[in-house]
Amino acid sequence: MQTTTTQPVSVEIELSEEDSLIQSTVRDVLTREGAQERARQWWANDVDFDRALWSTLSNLGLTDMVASSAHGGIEAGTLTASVVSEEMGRFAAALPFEMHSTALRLLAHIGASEAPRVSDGVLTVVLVPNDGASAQMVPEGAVADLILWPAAGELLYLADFDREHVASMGMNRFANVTLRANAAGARCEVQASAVENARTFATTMFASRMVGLGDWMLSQCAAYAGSRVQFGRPIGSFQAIQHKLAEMHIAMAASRFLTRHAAMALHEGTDGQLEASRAKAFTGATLWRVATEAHQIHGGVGFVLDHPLHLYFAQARGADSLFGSTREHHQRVGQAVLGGIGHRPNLMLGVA
Amino acid sequence: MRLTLSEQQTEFRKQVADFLEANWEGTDAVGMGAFGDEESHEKELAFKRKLAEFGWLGVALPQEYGGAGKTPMEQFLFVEEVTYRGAPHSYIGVGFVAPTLIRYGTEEQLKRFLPPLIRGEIEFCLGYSEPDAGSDLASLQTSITEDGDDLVINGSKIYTTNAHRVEYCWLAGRTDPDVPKHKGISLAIVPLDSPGVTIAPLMTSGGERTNQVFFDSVRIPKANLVGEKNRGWYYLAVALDFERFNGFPLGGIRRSFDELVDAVRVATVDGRPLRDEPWVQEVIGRLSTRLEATMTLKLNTVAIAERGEVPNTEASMLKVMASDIAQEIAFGANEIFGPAALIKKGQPGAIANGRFEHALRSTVLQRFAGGANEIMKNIIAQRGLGLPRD
Repeated sequence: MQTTTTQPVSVEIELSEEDSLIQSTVRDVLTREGAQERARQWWANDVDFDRALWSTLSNLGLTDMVASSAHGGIEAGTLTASVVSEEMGRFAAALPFEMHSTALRLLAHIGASEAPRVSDGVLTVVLVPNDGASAQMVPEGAVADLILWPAAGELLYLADFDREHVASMGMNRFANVTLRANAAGARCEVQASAVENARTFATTMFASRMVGLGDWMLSQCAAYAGSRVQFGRPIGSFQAIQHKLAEMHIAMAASRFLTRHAAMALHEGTDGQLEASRAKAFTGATLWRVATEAHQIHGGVGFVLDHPLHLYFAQARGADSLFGSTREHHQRVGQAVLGGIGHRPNLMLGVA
Repeated sequence: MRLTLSEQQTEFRKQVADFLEANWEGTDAVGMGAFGDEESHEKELAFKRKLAEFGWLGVALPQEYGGAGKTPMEQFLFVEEVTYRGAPHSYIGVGFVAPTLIRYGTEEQLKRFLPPLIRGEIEFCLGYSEPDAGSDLASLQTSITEDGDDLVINGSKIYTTNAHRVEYCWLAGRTDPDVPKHKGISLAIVPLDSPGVTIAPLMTSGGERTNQVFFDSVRIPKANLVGEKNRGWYYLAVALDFERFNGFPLGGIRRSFDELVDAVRVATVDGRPLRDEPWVQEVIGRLSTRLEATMTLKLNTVAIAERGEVPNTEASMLKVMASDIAQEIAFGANEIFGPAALIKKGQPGAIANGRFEHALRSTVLQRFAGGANEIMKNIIAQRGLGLPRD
């Protein structure tokens, strides 16, 4: 028989004033700069990204918030970063925010203040399986100015490396990265747990981007279904369409809550893995549904490149592909629950 | 806003848990008060009276009527603890009738009905569905006509679960047949011991009893009309919001999942632990994830209620997902344990003492009770997303 513990119920339903302000600031800037329209030109070019837009955000202090002051940041919380990533997703902004933040946060987390500062540039971190000399499909590897590479208890800071761009659909600017033989970059010690924590952070960040991508697709679908007339009436008046949209709405709401909950759990100093796995699993499954139904609801209108939907579909695939699929995370959650790590599923309610 | 328990709320929750530990034996009852045999019904009534003595039956109802005056958050915590253990509470009376009556009833009605409800002396059943009015509830035909100081009721209500065990029916009837269907409905409170009331049992696939109730010129005082005549549809909508919000606690569903986890943990297949099977881990992880997602929707409705609002679209969203996950857990148990999940309670080899055998049959109810999920999706699409009605 289970007994009740006194762990707090703690779930973010609405944002704090500070995070709301950051959210509306990012949204305003991305609207004003035409981020969604600009993202189209990077659809067929993922060797590079929108550096001008990145600079605009960087000048406002919005790209480096999670960094320590040594790297130009304010050590903003995970939830704040998650909210910014949501906004990037909402505009399908062609920006490397998630991996960049993961790298900066890792540096802040381990106190590596001596690591080189790359003003206005992009960082990434090698979290894919690798042999310590070469790594395949490093997200943002094609555009990074500095790569962090955890290997054998050390974290290498690499500004100088070989890279080979990998053309792919997800707008993650992948590259196969190879260490140069004489690469004697600076380095510091890193614990495996810090690397694992970075992986959990990245998992949460890509879930966050999917929340933004899905939110936009849902609202776009509702608007389109309300105005597109067939058989003499808006298609949104048909139950076949209404029920799709209602299901998308339910799944998006839960995706957002689970993802913010995961961000908060990580921020509050737990390892946050279970929460991140649940967020990524649920949000990934949701985005497959939302993105495919968004195409179905828009039909040909959404299939031509004049419409931005293809950007959202592609980025949803990219974000879902990274840091574990729905099935992979479901299995992890199952292992944790069955193994007694997350003893009871209802951590949010604190029943142990 | 962040939902975090205050020390006071944490303490309250612990008090509820301690109370349950002391006064309610672990049970495999469904916990809705209506479904057990006579013996378990007596046990449930006795427990409700104990809850009342402790001052918790009317957990969030105003203190002036004998309630505990707790917040929606505390009510949520209370109901979660109670339902997790399969214990009864005032599911309908306190859950949806009282909050609706507080909004639209007269002071006299509040004084007449709330104190005995909160003392555990009376309870309500719902008189909504009719043989020819289900999802199209507004087409209901049971008539309420005025005759001097009385109202006279004729017609029939169906799926009136608990009618044979409670004192009152919270009934929706037609007071004006000559106006559009939504504009001629009124709500009334009908004592079930009135002459002309006949209650006939209907047994269900889940093994529980529900009823059909016949009203043959049943007279009730006009003082039992709720709010204004012909405004009943609007009151009903609010009562249904409370039903989809308060009426879908997750305690029983969480308990069901926990029992599934416990069963998997101790099981072996060909001498190997079942818990090591990757596909089993995946099923459990999916259910756990979807259950936690449902909890976020529940907490969202609590947050709305804490602001003093009535969750509407959000309650419908919760209702859909909660009813889905309840069924998914039962099905998940069947996926994992195969035919062993179908062994009945009390038989050798029954998984979790037959809990899932029963759940497989009974959880089909949730997806159409309290408004079919398809109707919920219409509400979500039209009110939540602003899509046009057809």
